[in-house]
Amino acid sequence: MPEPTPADALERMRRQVRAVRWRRNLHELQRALYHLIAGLGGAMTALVVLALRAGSGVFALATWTLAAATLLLAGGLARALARRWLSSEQAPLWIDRQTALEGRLATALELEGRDARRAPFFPLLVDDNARRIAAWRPERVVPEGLPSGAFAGALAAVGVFLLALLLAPWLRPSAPAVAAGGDAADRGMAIEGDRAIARRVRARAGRPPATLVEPDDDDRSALSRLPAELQERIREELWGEDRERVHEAWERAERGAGPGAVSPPADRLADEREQEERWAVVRRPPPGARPARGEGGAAPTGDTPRGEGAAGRGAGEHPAERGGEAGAHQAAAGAGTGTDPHLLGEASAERAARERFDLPLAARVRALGGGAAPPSSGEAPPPAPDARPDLAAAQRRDAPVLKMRVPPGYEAAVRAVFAHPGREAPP
Amino acid sequence: MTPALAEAAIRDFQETFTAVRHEVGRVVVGHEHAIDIILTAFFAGGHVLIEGVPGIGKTLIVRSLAEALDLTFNRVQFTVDLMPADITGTRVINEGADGRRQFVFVPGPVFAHILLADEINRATPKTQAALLEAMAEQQVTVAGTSYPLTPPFFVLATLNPIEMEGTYQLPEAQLDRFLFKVLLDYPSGAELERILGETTAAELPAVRPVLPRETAARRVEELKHLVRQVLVAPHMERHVAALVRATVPASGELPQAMARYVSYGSSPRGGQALILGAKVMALLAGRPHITFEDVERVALPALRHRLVMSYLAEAAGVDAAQVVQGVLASARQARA
Repeated sequence: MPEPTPADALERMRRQVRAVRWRRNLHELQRALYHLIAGLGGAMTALVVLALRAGSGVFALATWTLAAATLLLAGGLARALARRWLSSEQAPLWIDRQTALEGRLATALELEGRDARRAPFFPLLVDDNARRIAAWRPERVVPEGLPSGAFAGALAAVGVFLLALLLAPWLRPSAPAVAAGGDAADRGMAIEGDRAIARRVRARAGRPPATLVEPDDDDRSALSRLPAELQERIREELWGEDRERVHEAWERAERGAGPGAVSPPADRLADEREQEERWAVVRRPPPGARPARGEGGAAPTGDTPRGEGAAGRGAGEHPAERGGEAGAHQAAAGAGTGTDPHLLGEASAERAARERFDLPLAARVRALGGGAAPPSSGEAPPPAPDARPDLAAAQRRDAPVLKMRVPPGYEAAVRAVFAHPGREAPP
Repeated sequence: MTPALAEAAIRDFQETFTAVRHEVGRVVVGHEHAIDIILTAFFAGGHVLIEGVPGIGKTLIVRSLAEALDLTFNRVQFTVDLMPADITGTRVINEGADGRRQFVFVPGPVFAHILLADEINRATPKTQAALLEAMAEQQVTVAGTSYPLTPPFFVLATLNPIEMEGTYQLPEAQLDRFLFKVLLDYPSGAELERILGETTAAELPAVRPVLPRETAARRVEELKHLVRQVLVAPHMERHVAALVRATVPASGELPQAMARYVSYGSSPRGGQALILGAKVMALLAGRPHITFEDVERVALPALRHRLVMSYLAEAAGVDAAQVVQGVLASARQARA
């Protein structure tokens, strides 16, 4: 008859298996957690740096890429953790493999619940295990209480992230210097027809054109707005109140112009890389306002009270932009050939300038469907033969932009651009 | 059984096994692995099919084994005109002293502890079946009377793979009754030199019995019983079952690349052979339980003759051993 199995030895083995399992699972859990922290830290660092330094297109692409990578990492870590997680059934087998017990432990524990306890060889197996129990103590099987490699990685990632936050103010471009003076065309702006060309930008290869005037929020879904809002939020959090100026400075940097540099003349810009240029224009004023001729040299209309060059003035969305007694989209009092000192009204508060408002201009811009204005009276003379019909095909096609912002830093520039030279203006 | 007694029993098994191996090795040059597998099958209580070209020592191995264990040994050269009664025995009319005549059963060569069925594929299927029934049932039935075979009963059948004319290929069902199939290869150059030197000398090496004649059969049965006592954990049963299942193409567990080469997989007898062989291996390693490695050591001889390969395998030159190795590799990978 086989001798009774030493129950205390088996109980000791079970306790030790539980301890090993707990230690191993805790180790794996920590490792997965530290890897996740390291991954998140790296992703957040990249996100912050890109938010501060990259354009909105690059940032949006990077945001989604990083989000996908982070999700993949989390999924991979969860899968690896599930695979490495020791269940109570697997624990003895795993210990056997780790400590070269040659299946002794798993066999003993699995057979304990069977009739095999009465098998002739079972006492020998238990005795064999009892002799080797010191060989698989938890601290020997899982020597590392803390996964040092993963922990160091997580620590480094968090450190780099904090460093990026600390260095964020130094990543801010210098505030833009606005060059005033000269006419609108010299600053890359033009007035033509009944639309005012606010600015022109040159799109870089592979990057969306940076526009001062952004499309309406309605045009984009909430999901597609998310990266832009995140980027704005990061910039606001890290750069504080100056972020608007930084934003503008960054856009200038994107255009390749240094701070304070004056844009090349419009004619020259028009000749350069025609296909990559974009024109941003403001909204056509409603019929109530009669725009004056801009600098295109067209003859003033008879309806214009102050003659040639009178700039229309409308009501902006912001109360500060409304000037004097002028009604909505009507010429302001005092508008004429001279520069209207209240063209844009009083300077907006800095906070208000970050919001959007209608630029109350009623100037004509070059656009589809443009052309010569009808004569004020009488029959129109027969059109003169076109000396350069080839130029008609090269005419630019423009799209109107409904809104634009005028940040305080550019206020002087905008005033200078839209100032009416008139007869009394200095040459 | 106390741990000390169990250890002593395991040691005794190891010593007996080693001694028999050593004695056989005195006359058989080379083929160490084949001898180990044959001895493993012997102590596991199974029979062995040996395949090899003529003249490489098949008969010598079997005879040496019988001499080392001091067990009765018979040899039957299978031919096409061999009848079942030539193996099992037959009833003859015997006239007694009183003049009365009666049928008396004369046992055939199958009534021995160790039987060498030489070139078993040369006999007709009817004769083959008579032997294979004796192997499975450990008894023969003649004229309605069953005659039990004296244990231990161990059959070693040989196949000659190069002369296939006038032979009757063993059916798969009968191949399945052999615990292991051993392939004997040509001896190496050094082994051949030793063979030439030892077999042409004036004094031929002789095998000394390891067990006393009187108790040999009983001792062998005790050792076979000890093998059966070896512990098999549930996870090992699952492992062996998975291996056997993996050889069956219909199970879907055989890799697609190999599945087209196998028409039929192993039967449950393959699993039994794996566990019994692994038990012997465990005792030889001094363990009271089997491990994955024990199973792997006997997987090839236990499974390769149980797989029915397709024509595609023949055309591609893929044999059963490669499939078994692939299955083992997959199992190893899954375990890691």
